[in-house]
Amino acid sequence: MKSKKSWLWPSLGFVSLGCTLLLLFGFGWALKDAWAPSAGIALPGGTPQPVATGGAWEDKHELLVTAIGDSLTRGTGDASGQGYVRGTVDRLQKALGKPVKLVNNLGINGLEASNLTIRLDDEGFKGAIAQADLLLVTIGGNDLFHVAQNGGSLAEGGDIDVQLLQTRLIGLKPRLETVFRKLRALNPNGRIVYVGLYNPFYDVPALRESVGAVIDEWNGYARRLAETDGNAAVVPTYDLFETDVTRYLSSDHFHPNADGYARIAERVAQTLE
Amino acid sequence: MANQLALIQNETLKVWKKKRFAVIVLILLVLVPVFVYAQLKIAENNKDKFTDWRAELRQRIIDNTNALSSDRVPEEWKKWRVALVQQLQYDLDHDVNPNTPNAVTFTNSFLRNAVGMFIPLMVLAVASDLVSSERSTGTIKMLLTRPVRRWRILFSKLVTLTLYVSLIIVATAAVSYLVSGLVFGYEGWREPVFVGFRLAGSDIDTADVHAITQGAYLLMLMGLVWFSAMVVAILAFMVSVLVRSTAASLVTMMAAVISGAILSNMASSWHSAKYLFNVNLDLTVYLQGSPPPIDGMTLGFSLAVLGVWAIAALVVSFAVFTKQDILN
Amino acid sequence: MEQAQEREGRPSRRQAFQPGRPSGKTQGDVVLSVERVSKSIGRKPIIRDISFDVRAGEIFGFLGPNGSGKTTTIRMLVDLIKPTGGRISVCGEDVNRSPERALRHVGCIVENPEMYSYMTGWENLAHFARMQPDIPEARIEEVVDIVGLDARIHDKVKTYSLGMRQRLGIAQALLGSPKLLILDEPTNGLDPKGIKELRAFIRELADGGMSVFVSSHLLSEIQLMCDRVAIIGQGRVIAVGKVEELVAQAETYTLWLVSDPERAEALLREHPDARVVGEDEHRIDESLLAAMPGAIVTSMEPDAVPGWVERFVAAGIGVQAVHRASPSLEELFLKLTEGERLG
Repeated sequence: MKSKKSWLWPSLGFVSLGCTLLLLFGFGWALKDAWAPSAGIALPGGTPQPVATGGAWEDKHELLVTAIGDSLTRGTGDASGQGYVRGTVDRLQKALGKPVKLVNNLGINGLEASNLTIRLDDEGFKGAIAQADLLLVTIGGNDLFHVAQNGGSLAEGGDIDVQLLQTRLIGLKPRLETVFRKLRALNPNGRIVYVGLYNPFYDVPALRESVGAVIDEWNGYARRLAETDGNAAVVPTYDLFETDVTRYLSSDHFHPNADGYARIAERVAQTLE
Repeated sequence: MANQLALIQNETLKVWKKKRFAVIVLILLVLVPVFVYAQLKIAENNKDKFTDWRAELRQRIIDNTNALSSDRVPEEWKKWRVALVQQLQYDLDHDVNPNTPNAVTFTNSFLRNAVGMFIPLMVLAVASDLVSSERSTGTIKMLLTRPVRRWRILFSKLVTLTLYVSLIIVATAAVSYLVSGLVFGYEGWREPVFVGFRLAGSDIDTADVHAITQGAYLLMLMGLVWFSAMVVAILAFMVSVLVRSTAASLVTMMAAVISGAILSNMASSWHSAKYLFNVNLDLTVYLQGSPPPIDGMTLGFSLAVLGVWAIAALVVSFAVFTKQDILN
Repeated sequence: MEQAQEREGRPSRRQAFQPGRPSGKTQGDVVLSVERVSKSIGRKPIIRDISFDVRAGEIFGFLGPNGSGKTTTIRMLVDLIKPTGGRISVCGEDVNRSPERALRHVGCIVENPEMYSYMTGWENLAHFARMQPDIPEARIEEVVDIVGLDARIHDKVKTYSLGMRQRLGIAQALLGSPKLLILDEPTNGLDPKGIKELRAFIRELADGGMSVFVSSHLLSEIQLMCDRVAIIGQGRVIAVGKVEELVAQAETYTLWLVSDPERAEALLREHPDARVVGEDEHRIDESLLAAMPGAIVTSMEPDAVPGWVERFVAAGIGVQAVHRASPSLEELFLKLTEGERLG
């Protein structure tokens, strides 16, 4: 009848008491750390980040791509979410017969050239630029057209003022130059591809010529920068949508739709092959 | 006068023999592998898509930045995203991986996600019937006719509750660590993690930011989770004293906890809601530096609100229990 | 101190039933004293000013119909309910003010012996032993032995029968070697054999010097078990006294089962020493009447019964059965409250 000596209570009691004390300590430590922060531990030296090696693409078994820029890089307007970046990567992979990996798509909606130059100083982003064998860049559209602030309907050209475009263009040129310079400084060996601007108002008679001229000038400037660099290219897109603007633009009449992006991707891939 | 320790022994053994804790551990053993598997899938997916963790982190920053520009995102979410982007940016800039897939980080994130609902529910499994079960089974008539003052009996139950809340939290962390370690490895205690982000308006103040080890972070998290679990437990304890049926007290507390979780997500414009206990339960946001559910809430504020609720609940519990007539 | 209420003078009737306490120890010391206790819930008085004493070594019955305030009173005795007035003390300790001292002398089962069903009998006993000072493991073995649960004590309580639970409950109550054992309707749910055993067991405990307080709604049970009894009705103590003395107050009926009821009844009506009791005049237990269908209910002195048998036989009436029916609680009640009204 006698009950066996029970170990249950002593062990249960001590273990649960130990847990309580541990948690109380953790709680106290959390409060102390929140209200009287200590210096903190030393950070381990970061592992060196990979850098693109340059050399012929044929010799590499894998290509790394980083895309940077505005909503075109992001793929805004493409209902399938692919954008031209994904399309380009897929086409390249097929054409080159080796894995092509997208490191990052760093496209940010509404990004202007001035913001991009700031972002390029960011430690975290430098790595993505440095390791890429191919850098895809779109920038400048927002600077020129200020879509976000535009009140009028884009289909009619909104309140696009060609005079204003000209002045903006003058301010924008040095920024693009800075972008090229910074990219090259971060990544001495990678190929830079700048996707040129197109004229979204080609179907608006009043703006076809005037805006077209501004776009031409801009693309020409970009091409000169690329030539100076030597390992860069500008992919022209102004002619892509001329045949049927409405077919390739999305409902906002500014960004391409899925078909439009596919055409851009095709053009970019062709340029690179 | 029976010795208080013997009373605590009684209560602790009763909860144990009722197999309450065993059920909780069983639930953990079933649920944690599910989450580990989900996490594993995410990790595998990311491995396919990204060249390294930095790329993944960059993409998160960019994606969240893009979401910010959308007008459809509610203001409070924006605030939350701004804070997240800035923290991730800080991690990236200092080359610290905040989400190394290992057992310690898994446990950390599991605890952070469990603090609002999962842990309170498990705590309720013990707290809700601590007193009411004695009443519904009639054993309270045996318990209270022994030569022991009633407050001592209630006090021993309170101590027991504290012990079990501690056990539950340590068990949650332990099960989560041991199970996830099978997949992700048991390393990671010494890896750094940043704490001390402060919200200053819509921006994040990084002046106090410093690195601690993931292990220390885990311990702090457990401490904060323990505090809020204790408050839930004490409130459930009070309900258990007031309500005769275990089911009724469980439902009451569950409703309170769940509505708190819902309110936390949508009450940012209702300012006086910050005095409710259930909106203040997630103390881990202060450690992480995420914006609190309602503007103006700070760690000190939440601790004070929770503390006042708990003390009031204790006063009510003891006042009622020592005076009430046992009529049935 | 315990005798305060005696001096305060109570209603004369009650005093008549409570024989003056003899000096000396023959009747024993007062173990439980209830003095002018009342309890109201909300505005409604449940218990009104009740008083009685339980002495050492006696079995004290607490008799009352359901809803009379019996349960409330018992719960007040063990501090489950706080009285709104009056004083309850056990061995001189106030139950309400210092339960931790007073209840040390009390073992009790209130209503059913509810124990923790998920623990074994032994674990239950160990649990309650820890709530009282200085109960060694040997004492647990002792009480298990006393109630005869040795064989099953390490089984879970949920596997126990009601009788075994009752025994476990008593074992628990006996753990602290109490001076007063309070049992609330202890025979509820027991079979006749169990009831008989329990009765003998309680008597044994009382012989050992323990006071036992037993509540019941059955007069017969109290008659069989108790030395003294308090009768409670509608929240008042109607009478306290020796069981025989109280029962003698109520009418005892003699039931006749005869071959020729009509002639027998006519004969009975002729003589003044017997009275035929009409159907709605008595409250004899129905089960008793069912066993003797067509019986004539009479009221007569016990001495008169043999004479009547002779008389019937002489008249050629066959006597098939004679039964003396003790009064039911209802009967006694009626009698006592009637007296109170008159007095």
